[in-house]
Amino acid sequence: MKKSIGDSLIPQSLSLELGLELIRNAGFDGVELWLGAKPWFQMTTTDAELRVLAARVRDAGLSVSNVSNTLDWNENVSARDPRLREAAVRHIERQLEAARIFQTDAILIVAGVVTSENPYNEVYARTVDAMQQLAPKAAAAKVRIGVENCCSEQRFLLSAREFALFLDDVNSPWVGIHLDVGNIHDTGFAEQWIEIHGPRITRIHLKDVLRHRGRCGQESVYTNIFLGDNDWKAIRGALKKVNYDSWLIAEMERTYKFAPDQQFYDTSAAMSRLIENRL
Amino acid sequence: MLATESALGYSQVLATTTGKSLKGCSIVAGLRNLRDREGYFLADAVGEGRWLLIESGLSFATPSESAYHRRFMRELFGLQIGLHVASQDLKDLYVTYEWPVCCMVRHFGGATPIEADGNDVIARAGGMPIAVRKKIGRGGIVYIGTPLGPLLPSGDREAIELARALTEASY
Repeated sequence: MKKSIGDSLIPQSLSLELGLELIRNAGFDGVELWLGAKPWFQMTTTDAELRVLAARVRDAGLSVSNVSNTLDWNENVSARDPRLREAAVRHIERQLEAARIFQTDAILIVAGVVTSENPYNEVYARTVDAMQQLAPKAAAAKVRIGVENCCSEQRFLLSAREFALFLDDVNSPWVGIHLDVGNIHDTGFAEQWIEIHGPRITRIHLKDVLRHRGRCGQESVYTNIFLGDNDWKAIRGALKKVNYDSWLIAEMERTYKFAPDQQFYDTSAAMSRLIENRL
Repeated sequence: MLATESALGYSQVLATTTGKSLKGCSIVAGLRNLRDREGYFLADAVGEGRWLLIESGLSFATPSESAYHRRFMRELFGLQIGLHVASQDLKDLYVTYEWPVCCMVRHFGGATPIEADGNDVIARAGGMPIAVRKKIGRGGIVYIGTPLGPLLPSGDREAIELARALTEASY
């Protein structure tokens, strides 16, 4: 397994070059590039500029682990407004194109957001429909779409079996799950999600979760690896069981009030302990 | 109930396996105890060349059932079965199998350790032998110290692969 971390975590004070250098020096093998998060990767960024970005990542001694986006929360494939749905499809297609340029084979999306105005059954149907439309494009690009389990924030696909049924309905090997082990909160156990989804897992996000804070209250439920309530031994065991050997990607909040770069070093060290099963 | 659930799991796997499945092999699913004459019937079958896949059902056995089971295995098949270890006392969440396929399968309500004692150890958990293969007469037994069958209907890929391999193995 290889270690990656999102460019979205690069402190605002750092340029792309310094940010990549920090990631490399902290011991990561790759970087997750977020469409919409940083000035160097927006919808307006051209192919030529993406090739320059790819070169900079390479020059820093890193690979691109996957391409994610921050846009789905405002432009979702499940939106009632057809213009928002079209925008969502466009930025997902752009992720697929970017993944080809970055020579990676997975993207992350947040598909389906249930609200009081956008009810579950509608969201489910639209999301399955959108994934079925996007799957052939993913197949053509040879890039797998990983639908992230943002269970609580999305109020959608809340259990591992429900998520599996959703993927059954989409019915494409090019659409899987980008599993975030910190997003399950108090509604389940990450190791069971890993076991159930196994080969359908495209990538894994790592962070820890404070279960006693419940789900999305006023205080953040998220924290750094090993500081929360995830059973990391069980998670490591499940990863071995399903033979997961792809990228582990740190995705957490900026929790360091001082020396923000230290979070990269601490996270990288924790991930090494997890990979080496020194728990 | 455990035996029924376990047997159902195996029957689902067998329904999707090849015709060579279970050639010369019988499955005793979720065994807690059995009557003497049933035990002797199984022992005779093994002596005559049958292979038995015996799956322990001690996870939910009473102390008397457990004692009977252990004595029976010792006297008829020469297997030294240990006391059942509860889930929370096992170091590993998984049983690691080395035969007939290499895989990890979650134990079910803990596991029953078995003395290696010259037998082929085919699986371990927490460093303890949990499954063995033993030739007896013209046949033999594969003893699995934790139920596998109940995991099969749940869609556990590794458990299904293992069960399929066990039923198709050349003994």
